[in-house]
Amino acid sequence: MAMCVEDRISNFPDHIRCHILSFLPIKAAVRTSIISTKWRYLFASISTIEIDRYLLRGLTHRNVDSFKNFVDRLLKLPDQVSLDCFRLCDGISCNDGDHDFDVSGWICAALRRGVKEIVLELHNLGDVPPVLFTCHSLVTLRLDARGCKIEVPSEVCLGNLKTLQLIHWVLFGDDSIHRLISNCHVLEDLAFIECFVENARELHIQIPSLKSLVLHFVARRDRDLNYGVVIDVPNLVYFRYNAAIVECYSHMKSLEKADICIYGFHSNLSIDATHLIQGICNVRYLSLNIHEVISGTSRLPIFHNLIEFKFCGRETSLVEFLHCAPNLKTLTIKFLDFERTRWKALTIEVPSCLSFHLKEIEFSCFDTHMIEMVNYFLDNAMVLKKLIISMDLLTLIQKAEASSQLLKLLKSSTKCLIVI
Amino acid sequence: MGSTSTKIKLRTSDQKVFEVEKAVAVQSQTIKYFYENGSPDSVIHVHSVSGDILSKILDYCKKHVNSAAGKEDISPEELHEWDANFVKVDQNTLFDLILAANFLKIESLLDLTCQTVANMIKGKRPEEIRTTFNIKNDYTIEAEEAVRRENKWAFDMLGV
Repeated sequence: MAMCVEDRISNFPDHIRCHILSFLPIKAAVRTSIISTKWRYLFASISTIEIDRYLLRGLTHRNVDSFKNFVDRLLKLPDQVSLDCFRLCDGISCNDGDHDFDVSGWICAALRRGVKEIVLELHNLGDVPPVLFTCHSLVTLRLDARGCKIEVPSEVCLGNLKTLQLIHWVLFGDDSIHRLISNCHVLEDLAFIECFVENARELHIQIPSLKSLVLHFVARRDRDLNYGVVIDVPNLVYFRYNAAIVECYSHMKSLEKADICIYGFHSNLSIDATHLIQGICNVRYLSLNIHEVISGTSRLPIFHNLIEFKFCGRETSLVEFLHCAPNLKTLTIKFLDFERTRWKALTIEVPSCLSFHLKEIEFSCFDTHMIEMVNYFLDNAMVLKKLIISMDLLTLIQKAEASSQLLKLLKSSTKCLIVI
Repeated sequence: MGSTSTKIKLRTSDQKVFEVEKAVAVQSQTIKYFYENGSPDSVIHVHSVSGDILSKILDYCKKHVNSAAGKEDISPEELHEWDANFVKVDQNTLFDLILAANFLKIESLLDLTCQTVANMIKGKRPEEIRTTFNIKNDYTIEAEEAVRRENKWAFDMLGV
């Protein structure tokens, strides 16, 4: 790169130079103050404050006071511009004994400066100041609680909150969590990630503005599963469910994409996911990971809109789904276990998507005993254009054997492209 | 044809005139504002942007509009790579792009170019930053020492 002969950057408007500093880690931004007098106080106007573990690791007893003093000045000085983002990640706890950080005070100061985004990943988040839940300026809130029970105060008002992500929370009882989500009237993106549900009867999510919902729950014991989920979100576009199956009633008529991973839990190994599956029947793209057999009595709905389907589970369930997806175009398959004989018995009737629509099939973990199934698809998928076979799990010798068998099939099939 | 083929005329600081598809031109909030608040046939003056720089910026907007509209089959990774190559320019051009993106209010381009400058600062010692951007150190020794003392933690730590 050619050098400038003059110093152009120092004469850029402050807001542009601040914008440049906002892409730097906070330490590098502060260090620009030494470049020249024109850079002296520039860092004080940065609108993103992120304190992460790399920064903390570099602090020693000698300079920790200097750092505390810096954060205090940065956050608490009057006449500051409003703050876009405040992130505290990893390695700090709310009442930090090691460093004696005034984390609550920092959060309050950030809120007073009209912060739009708060990300807290702290040990012992228990003493979060209640004012966090009544802040009008907040648009994004991401709280990682590390398995703590969070006390949601009785007053909740997050009128501008669009994104709420709760990580490692213990959702305790019905009231607390309901109070939180029912007071976010413009919420678009709600995610529970690796959360626990305790002592709750019903998780009721009724948010008309919601577009994306993630329910990722971890169960520690059977009795944690004595709750039901009611989802009433008519405008939802994306839904992810990753949890043991519980009763789940839902209303998601705008749903386009779903990513579902359900499993049984000791006592309910043969699972009845009927209501959950019926709720998502409008999807265009579905990724389904289903560990156990869907109980035989349940009837699947017809997935009229489904065009792309990723399936991981047992062949019995796959066949059921293929019969219910008349317009399917792309199918990706991964089997948990596979019996050749059962496959024969299952496929007496050819699903209609095979005859008219299915253009692409991918076997994501191919094994030699699936050759018969490949053959079946080549014979019956009348409009198939592409067959992708990935053999990542096989040894070199197995790969060679599988390839030679597949090549034999290839010779007899001229209509589609096989990619190995 | 419908509104998709509407053209907007732009005149640069060096009096070059560009006829640009509306969808591409309104990536700039400034142009959008002038277009919506002026007569549709008038020429919009982008008086602080030269023809060379505007032509580059229009390439950027076109690429992003086309990929967002699905007119061009390009993956997010490929677009990212295209962006990375777009900012491989000499420093003067990069600065011109920043000032133009700021004037034209094209947020994603301002982010891309400012991020590029930030990467040129990152990991450098103060002397190296000064050399890179031709900045003269106008601190006295005492003043410089005071700046270091004020945020001791940032200068104390190991590494750059």
